[in-house]
Amino acid sequence: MIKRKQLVLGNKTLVDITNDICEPVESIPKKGWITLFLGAKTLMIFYFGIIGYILANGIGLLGVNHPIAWGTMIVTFVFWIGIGHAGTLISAILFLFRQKWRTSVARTAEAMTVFAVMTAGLFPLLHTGRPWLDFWLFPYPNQRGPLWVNFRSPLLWDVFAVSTYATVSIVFWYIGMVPDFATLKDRAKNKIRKIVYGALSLGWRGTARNWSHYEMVYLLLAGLSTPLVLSVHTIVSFDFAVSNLPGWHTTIFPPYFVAGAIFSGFAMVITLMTCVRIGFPKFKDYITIDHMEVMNKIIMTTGLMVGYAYTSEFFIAWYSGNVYERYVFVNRALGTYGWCYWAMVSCNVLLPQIFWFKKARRSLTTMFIISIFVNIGMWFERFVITVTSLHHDFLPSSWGNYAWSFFDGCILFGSFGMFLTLFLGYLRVFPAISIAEIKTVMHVGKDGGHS
Amino acid sequence: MQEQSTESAPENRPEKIERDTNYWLSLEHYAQDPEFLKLGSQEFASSPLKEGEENAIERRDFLKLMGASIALASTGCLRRPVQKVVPYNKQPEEVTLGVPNYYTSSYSDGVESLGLLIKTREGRPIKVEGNPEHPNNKGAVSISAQASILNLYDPDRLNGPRKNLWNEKRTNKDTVTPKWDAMDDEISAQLKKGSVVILSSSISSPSLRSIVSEFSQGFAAKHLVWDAHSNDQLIRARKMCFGAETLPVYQIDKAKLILSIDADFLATFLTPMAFSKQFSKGRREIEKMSRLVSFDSTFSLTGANADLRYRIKPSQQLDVVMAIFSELEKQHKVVVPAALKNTLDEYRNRISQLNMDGKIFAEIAKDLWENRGQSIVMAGGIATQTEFSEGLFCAVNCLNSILGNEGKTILERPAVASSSFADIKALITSMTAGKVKTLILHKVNPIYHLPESFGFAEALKKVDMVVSTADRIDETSQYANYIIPDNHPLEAWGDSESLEGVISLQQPSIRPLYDSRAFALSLMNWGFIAKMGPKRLLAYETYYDYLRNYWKEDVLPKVAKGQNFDDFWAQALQKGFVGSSRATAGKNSAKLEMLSHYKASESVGPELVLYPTVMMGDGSQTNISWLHELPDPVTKITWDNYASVSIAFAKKNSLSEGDVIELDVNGKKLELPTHIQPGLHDEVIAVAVGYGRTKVGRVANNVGRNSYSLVSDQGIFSGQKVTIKKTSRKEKLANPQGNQSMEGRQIVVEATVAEYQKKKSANIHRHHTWSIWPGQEYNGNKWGMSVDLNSCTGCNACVVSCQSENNIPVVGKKYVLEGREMAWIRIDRYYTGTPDNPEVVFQPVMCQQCSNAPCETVCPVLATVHTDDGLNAMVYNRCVGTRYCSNNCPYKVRRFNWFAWNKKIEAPLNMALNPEVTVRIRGVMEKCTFCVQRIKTVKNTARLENRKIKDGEIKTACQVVCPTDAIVFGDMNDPNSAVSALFKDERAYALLEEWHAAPSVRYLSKIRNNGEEKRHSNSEEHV
Amino acid sequence: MRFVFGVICLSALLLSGCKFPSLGYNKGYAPEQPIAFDHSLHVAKNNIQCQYCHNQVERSKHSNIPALSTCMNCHLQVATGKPGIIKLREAYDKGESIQWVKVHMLPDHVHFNHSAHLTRGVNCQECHGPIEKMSRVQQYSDLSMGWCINCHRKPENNAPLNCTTCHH
Repeated sequence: MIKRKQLVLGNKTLVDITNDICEPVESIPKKGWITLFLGAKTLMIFYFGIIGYILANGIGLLGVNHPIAWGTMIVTFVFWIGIGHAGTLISAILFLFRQKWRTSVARTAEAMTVFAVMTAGLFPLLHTGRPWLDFWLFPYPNQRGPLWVNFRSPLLWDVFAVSTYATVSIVFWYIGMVPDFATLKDRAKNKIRKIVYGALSLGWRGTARNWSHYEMVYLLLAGLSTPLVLSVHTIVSFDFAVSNLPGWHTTIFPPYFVAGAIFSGFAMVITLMTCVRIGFPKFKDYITIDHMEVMNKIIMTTGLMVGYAYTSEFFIAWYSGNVYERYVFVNRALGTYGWCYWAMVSCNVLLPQIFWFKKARRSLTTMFIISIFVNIGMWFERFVITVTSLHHDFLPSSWGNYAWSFFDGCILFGSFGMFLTLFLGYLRVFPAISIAEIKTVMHVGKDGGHS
Repeated sequence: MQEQSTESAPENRPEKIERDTNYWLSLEHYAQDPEFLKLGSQEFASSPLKEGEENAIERRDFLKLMGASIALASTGCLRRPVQKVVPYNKQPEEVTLGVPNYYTSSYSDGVESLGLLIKTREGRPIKVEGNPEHPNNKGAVSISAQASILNLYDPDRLNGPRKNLWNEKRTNKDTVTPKWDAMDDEISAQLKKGSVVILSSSISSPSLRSIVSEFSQGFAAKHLVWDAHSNDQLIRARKMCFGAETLPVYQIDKAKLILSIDADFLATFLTPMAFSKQFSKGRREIEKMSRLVSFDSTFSLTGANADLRYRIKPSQQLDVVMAIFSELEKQHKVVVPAALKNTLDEYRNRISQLNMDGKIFAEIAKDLWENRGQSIVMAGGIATQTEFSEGLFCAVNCLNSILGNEGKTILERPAVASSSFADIKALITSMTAGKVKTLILHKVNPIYHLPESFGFAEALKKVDMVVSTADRIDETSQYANYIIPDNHPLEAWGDSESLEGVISLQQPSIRPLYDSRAFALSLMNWGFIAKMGPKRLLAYETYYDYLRNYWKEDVLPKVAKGQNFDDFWAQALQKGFVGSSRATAGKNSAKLEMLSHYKASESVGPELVLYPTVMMGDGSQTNISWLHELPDPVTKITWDNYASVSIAFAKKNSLSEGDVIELDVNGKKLELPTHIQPGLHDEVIAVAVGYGRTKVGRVANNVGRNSYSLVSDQGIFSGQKVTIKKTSRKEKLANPQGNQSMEGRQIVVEATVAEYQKKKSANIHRHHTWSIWPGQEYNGNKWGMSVDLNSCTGCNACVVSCQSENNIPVVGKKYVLEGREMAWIRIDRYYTGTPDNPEVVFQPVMCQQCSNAPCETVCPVLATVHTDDGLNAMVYNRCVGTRYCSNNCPYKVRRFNWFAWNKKIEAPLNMALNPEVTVRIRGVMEKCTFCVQRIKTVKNTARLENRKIKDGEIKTACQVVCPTDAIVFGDMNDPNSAVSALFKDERAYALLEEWHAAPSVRYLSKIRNNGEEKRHSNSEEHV
Repeated sequence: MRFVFGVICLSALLLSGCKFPSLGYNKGYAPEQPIAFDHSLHVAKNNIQCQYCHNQVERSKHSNIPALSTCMNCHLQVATGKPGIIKLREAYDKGESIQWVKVHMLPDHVHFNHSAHLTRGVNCQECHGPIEKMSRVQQYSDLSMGWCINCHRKPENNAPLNCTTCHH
């Protein structure tokens, strides 16, 4: 029989595990973390400042114009939503498939999901011309007759999809943490921690009943969030696919978007995990190179899927015999924004191919660099889809270019400030690995340990 | 809230100026009362937060707070601050709140005078439209006439007379507001000293003319008429040829063949509105449509509409005519005198240098001869003011004469040649010599229009007293001792005589906003005070009285002998004009000999062409944002003038779009950005005039460069040698049109007459479209619009009309560059054919009101939905601004309020807003609505009168001003309506038909009468 | 402090807003007028037709507030002694006007047309309630969009339901 790889290295005892994982939560932050956190926080505050300024003066401060009515905000929205996917995929789908290796990365990946969705969720609300009226996007009883929303509009589906996704993944994430909160409470030295974590742990006692209920809820939630992984980005893709704009109006979008989402999501997980490993050396025993390698494999696979989508789009454009469709795709590769397209292709399709080599898959530096490029590439993918399709459409008279402005840059980079602040905070407040679950897989691959 | 517009009267308003007539008694509560203006500025404020009634707020402070915060959450529930309703003191019987009144009036730029209908609401003019009854323009109305409404409400206008506090050197510019009486006394005292000169642009008002002449008698004053763009050479040439000083009155609709040598008669030459009407009339029946051949040294609108366009440079204008002569002679059509023979021989050699196929002239000559007596050869405009212009005009006259067009297609009207540049020089010298004691300037701006080398500014300082009637402190009036602002045409009585001899009344539609005074009245007052001048000048208290009397004594006998004057006057007011065209056939007696001494002369190297644009004209009325944001009909560039050069020229001098080059015209230098213009002659640098005003107002100051500075001292505009020097700088030119070619798509369909005769629907590729959905039923009306691309000349009148009707904001150059322009109707201009010498097609694109509107399905909040009469409604107040609709619109006709443009409207400009159309706030989408407010108004009146809506009763804003009647609007459910007939026309096609958005707009294909069998091969076929 | 208060009210309103539709509308709004004009006196007691004063209501989208000249038609003789009338008279002689407080206020983006409704046989009371009995004018209906729509929806009225009917 094949010998399993060890999921937890360095012959940990149960106590070691608890100590290791609780350490970041219980110890005083080191310089490194503090500097990172302050940096991120400053960026976030700046980000909110910029948003405020845009709210005060008008969305015209961004590069959006006529004919390109959607720009950075939508692009970055899709980007972050995409990032979100890996989390739920790992924690829910891999859970249902009994993938034991997921245990050590699930929590953090899911935290990432939650924060990414939070970051993303702002954009659709902020990009409107009159954000203070966004609540009109929700169907609620009103005194206008009543006047309902347009259920035919993909944007509305989006509102539902994203909000559902956000809710479910937060709940799922939280439920998973309940037992660990209890642990933290028990270990807590001072009163406040006791109270806070006590409250968070919802009076978890660790009784058999607790556990059986917990397991059941967790399973159900896993089952609930699995379809969401697919639905959310499918529906996000409808924003484009359901419109009639050449370059948007394609049936391939749903699978293509989902693949892309998982792709970028795992890339982000890799990016974060490599940092976590550096930040908390003890975690190296739980988040092992093997974990990383598996994820790199996924990155490569999804990268290929995305690559396939790119090519098939071109084929279909040619095959359709539709002048406008054909023009759009030629323009994509060779037009004003050709460079974006090629940046996207090289980052998303070509670079990940290096993972064919085991060495590359297992080298932290390589995977870190690749993951960064993949993230860049995926942002460009959304830019290419949104902007290049819009900037040359049907009537040549109304063609135009995106008027990229200082504020576009601020919005794009500021959103990272928000995300990182939340994430760094999480690392210090919540147990970054599921203590309870990891203990169930500590024997995997060990001699004598049953697998 | 229109009631507010009748705010109570300010006591401080001096009771002066014309006597009230019941037409505007109602408006006496008007004028610049700040309180009123404030109310006015709130009139359209859409945000409840903006309301500011202090006392109210104090009283209900908490409520305000609540209101404010709630308003943020929903416009549905909030308690508004207190607003006041201010009724009239005495109810004027003709004013019904919320119901517009229309007053006939007229507008004149000196040559062309248009009959107008002024739409007023509660006594304030809100739109200028053409008078459909008027024999000249028949409802067509020029861009400048429409835009004059913004001139009326221009915040930069003077609000009263000014006196300049000169120091010795006349350098300081401090002004005070003088008392009228003191001022009049001082001026008339000064006038008594004699040697008075009145310098004015040509006056088309007969009554004012007589006042001026009577005044001149009285004070022995000299009256100089001088226009920046004068037709005096045209007039002189006709005197030389036919013996009388006249201007031609072309009967373009009667001509089968029109040959234009740089005469931009569709845009700026003589009476473009009348010409456009006639031109389209002459081309409506395609089998019999006229042919327009144009020799163009700029890319003029006329050239763009020509069936055959040939690019020349100014110095070749005369060659072209001579070439035709020699061809006629070769073909033994005409016998030319021996003297002329050898001249013609010279020209024959020159023809080779026109680098055109000689056959062209053979054909044109043949064509002209076949159409003897029903063709027109014309040349004119400042592009033809070269050193050869006299020869050119004489040659043209002779050509028309031997073709027998004179008296048939070309009538004439007596005209006075205005003063030449030489006369102005003379004036300046006598001014410098101190021979002019008093100079009265009316509607002239010599310091702007004359090159510095004339030294007008210096000469002005030598004049004891300068009086200007400018409505602002402009380049010239800043040196005047007194500025006595003339009333705006919309504020004052007056009349005007058109080129054709129709006399129109100019009737005020609003009480003067400011403390201004009619020029005529000033002259009368001064005469009265000084007791000088004939009795008639002194007899009347107001210009209105004089006018009435003048009409009684001089006009009535001319046009309606023996009629009772009061009836006559009433009718005149009702109709807006009296009489009809009085153009007569002139003597057809040109002597060919005279041409013999216009010798051919070599000319190599690039030449300058100055040309006026439809927007700016001579730059006298430029402080109007609409005009600057209006794209040039051909180049499509806004907010600038530039040096247009041909592609080859640009290549040769390695110029790219926007490179700033320095033009050097015999020592006179000017820096301009380059624009690479397809279809220019390779040795031409074309520059628009009318830009680069420095003291006209906040809108137009320093927009573009003043190219009048390049005019030679002999008053030669075009054909001057020019050398260029490339600078390192670059300037962006704001062109709202993204791409200049159709990329082989079926967008504008053209066919030649030959093709049309074979197949009426030639070159229209119909798509088979089907839908599983049967489509919506329209039981009542179904509104539709058809646009005849064969009539449309791309003149832009509709764009301005739409802007005025629908309160469309102006965004400025910066934002046009960023693609944020707001025009609801745009005219797409595409080049077809070879880049060097392309043809041009125009296509007005407005919201197509699709039946399967892609925008409607994607709006998440139902802010854009379909109405049961087939309109694509846009509900501004529901719009959240996701802009998804714009993305999904195949025609990209939706416009978004990226910023709070409405906040930029400063008083009193807000008075020009149309109360029927909501002013959009920041963050909402807007678009063409087929003027739903007009539809509603007519629907309501029809219901009030309990009848059906008549076909053609509803006219959209774009349709009503269209000089070529290219746009037809109506009910597609009515089988007899004009529009449904046009929908069935075989030339009709829908834009992007294959996309099956089922638009309610049909375009009628363009037909070219260029004698070719097929449309030129290199215009790509639609796939 | 004020602000906090305001915010509290706001949230309260938002929560209850849907419960009580008319909340936040001007229903029942009866401001004090510069001259205490009494409809009940003029209409109910002296049987003056509405259209005598609001004479343009059948021709125009607006129902005009009568000009002072209209008032003076009677009040040159009638009740000349009353303080209100004296005030009126003074204003009239000065050529000034009375600044009435607007009671019925629609947002600027709503285009209501009085004449259209009158020709369809809707009488004043439908919207203005027992205006003829009011001694001080007060807003009878909440004038919310829902309120308009309700009437337009009734089949017997066959009134248009396009957005453009009121918004353009």
